[in-house]
Amino acid sequence: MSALEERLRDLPVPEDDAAEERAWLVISAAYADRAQAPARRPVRRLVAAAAAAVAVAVLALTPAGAEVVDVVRDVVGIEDAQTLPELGPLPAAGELLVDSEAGPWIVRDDGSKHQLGDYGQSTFSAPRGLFVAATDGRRLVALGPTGEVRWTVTAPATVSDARWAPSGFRVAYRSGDDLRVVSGDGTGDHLVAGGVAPVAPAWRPTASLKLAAAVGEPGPEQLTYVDAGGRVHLVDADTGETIRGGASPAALFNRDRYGPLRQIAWSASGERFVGSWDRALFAEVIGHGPNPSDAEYVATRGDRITETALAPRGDDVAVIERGGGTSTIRRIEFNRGHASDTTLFAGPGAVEGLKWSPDGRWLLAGWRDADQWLFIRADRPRRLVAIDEVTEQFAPEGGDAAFPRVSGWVLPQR
Amino acid sequence: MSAAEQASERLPAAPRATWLGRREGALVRAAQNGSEDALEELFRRHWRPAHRAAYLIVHDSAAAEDIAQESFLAAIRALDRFDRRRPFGPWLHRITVNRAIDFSRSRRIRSEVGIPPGLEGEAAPPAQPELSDELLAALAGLGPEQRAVVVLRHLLGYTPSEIGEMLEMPRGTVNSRLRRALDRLRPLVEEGEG
Repeated sequence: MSALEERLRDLPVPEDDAAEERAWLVISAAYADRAQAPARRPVRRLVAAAAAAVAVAVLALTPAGAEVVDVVRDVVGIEDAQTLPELGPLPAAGELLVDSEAGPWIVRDDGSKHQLGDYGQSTFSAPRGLFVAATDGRRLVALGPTGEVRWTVTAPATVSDARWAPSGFRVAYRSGDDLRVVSGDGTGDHLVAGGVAPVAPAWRPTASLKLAAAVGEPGPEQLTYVDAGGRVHLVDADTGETIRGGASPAALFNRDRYGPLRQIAWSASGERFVGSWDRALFAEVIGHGPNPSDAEYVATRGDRITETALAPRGDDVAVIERGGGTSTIRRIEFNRGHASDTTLFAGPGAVEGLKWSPDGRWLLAGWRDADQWLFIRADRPRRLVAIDEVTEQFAPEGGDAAFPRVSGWVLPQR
Repeated sequence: MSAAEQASERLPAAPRATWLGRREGALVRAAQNGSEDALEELFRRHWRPAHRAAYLIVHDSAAAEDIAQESFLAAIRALDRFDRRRPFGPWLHRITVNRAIDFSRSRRIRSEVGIPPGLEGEAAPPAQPELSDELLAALAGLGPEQRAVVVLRHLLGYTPSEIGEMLEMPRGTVNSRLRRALDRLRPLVEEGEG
C-alpha cells in the first residue's frame, strides 16, 4: 500500500458512523418502497442558478415609507419598486382572502374590502371564490360573499386547515387528529382518516384526468394527507380508499436530518406533487391512471423552508426560507428533472402567507416585521410593490393586533 | 477478482453474518429478489468507500453524505436492471464520483458568481471546505476532476483505463491529471513518511 493510499484511507471523515446509520435508514426505506413504487429518476440537488444573483432583493429593515423604496432601488436587481401607504388597486386582478385577528376579510382588486365576520382560519372555495369556508372552534362554516352563513357542520374536535376541492364539490378539514370531508352543500360530513399529522390536506386537481375524460365520468375526488408517522397518502375522499400509498416519499427522508414534513401541495395539472420538510423540498411527477407513469425527486438543503406555494399554472414552486434572522423567497423552476432556483427577495425578520396571483405573474407575501405586504413580480421585469402599515388596516377596533395573513387569491366570477 | 472488487472489499464494516463471505453476484441476485439482508450486506460493504470518496472530492461532510446516499438510492432504483455478472462496486463508484464532481463544479460556479451583500452565510453554500488535515487542504487545491482521479486511483484502486471509462476521458488524460496531482501531493506524503 502506498503512503498516499494509506493517508487517504486514514483521513477522518466527520460523522462517519452516524452517516452510515442514517443512510441505511433511508436506503432500507427506499428498498421497501421499491416493490410498490415506479422507476424514479435520481435525486437532484437544487443548484442555485447564476441568474439568482441578479434577481435578488436585499432589504434592510427600515422605517416604513419611502426609505424602504430607496433601499430597494439602491441594492437590488428589481427594476421598479414602490411603497404605498395603504391598500389601493392590486397590481394583479383578483380578490384576496385575509385572515386577521378580527376575522376574515375580502379585499377586491380595486383596494376596497369588507369583513366576513368573527371567525378563525378561512379558505376560498375553488375555482372562483364564490364561497368561503371558515373555522369557528369545533364548527366549520360556509359563508357567502358578504359573510352570510350558508351552512355549518359541527365536528368532534377543533376544526383547522379547511381546504376546498378544486371541483368545488367537497371541503376537507382537520378535526383534532382526524381528517374529515363534507360536501360543498354541507351534507355528507364523514371521517376519512384518523391519526393525521398537523399538516393541511391537499386536493389533487383531477380535471385533466385523461382516463375520466375518456369515460365521461369525473372520477373520484383525490385527497392527499400526511399521517402521524409522516407518510403521505392519496385517497378517494368519499370512500377513504387508498389510491396511492405506502410508497411514501416521506420514507426517503430522514426526519432527524430534514425535520418533519410541513406542507404538501399539487400543481394545477394534478401531475406534480410537492412536499416540503424543514430543510428539503421533494417533488414527484405522478402520471394519471392507476399506475404512476413517472416520478422524480428534487431535494435542496439550506435554511428552514417555512412555506411552499405552487404556481397556478405550470409547475413552478415558490418557497420561503428562514435562517439567521433572514427570510428569503425563492422561485424554483422544474425542467425535465432539473431544477433551478431564483431568489426573489430576502429581508430580515419573518415573511409569511405566500400566495401566487391567479395569473401566475405576481407573488404576495406578508413581511410581518416591516408590517408590509410585498407584491413581487415573479417574472421580468422585476417589480416590487410594498403596502405599508397593513395591520391597522385590518384592525377596526384599533390597538395591538396580529399581523393579517393572506389565505387566498382568486379570480372571481364577474 | 478485479482491482475494483478488491478495493471495494478493503473497507468492510459490520457485515451481516448470514451473508458474510458471499460473492457479490449472489448478493445482488438476492437483493433483486427481495432480500433486505443481502441489500444490507451490499450496503455495508460499499457505503464507507463511497462516502469517503465523496468526502475527499467535495470536502463537505453533509454534501458527501447526501451524494453517497443519493448514489445508493439511484443504484436501488436501477437494481432490477443491473447485470449481476458485473461487479457492483464500480457501478456505484461511477455514480458517486460523477455526482461529487458535479457538486464541486456547481459550488465553484456559485462562488464565482458571488452572493449579493447581506446574504453571505445565508443563501451561500459553505464558503470554506472542512480542512482539518493538510492532505485535505492540498487536495482542495486541485480541480474536482483531479481529485476524483486521485481518489479513484489511490483510494479505490482503479486502473487508469477503468478511471477513463468511469469519467469518460481518455486514459492519457487520466494519466496526465494523476501525474500533475501527485506532483503537488507528493511532498506532503513524503513528509508524512519521513
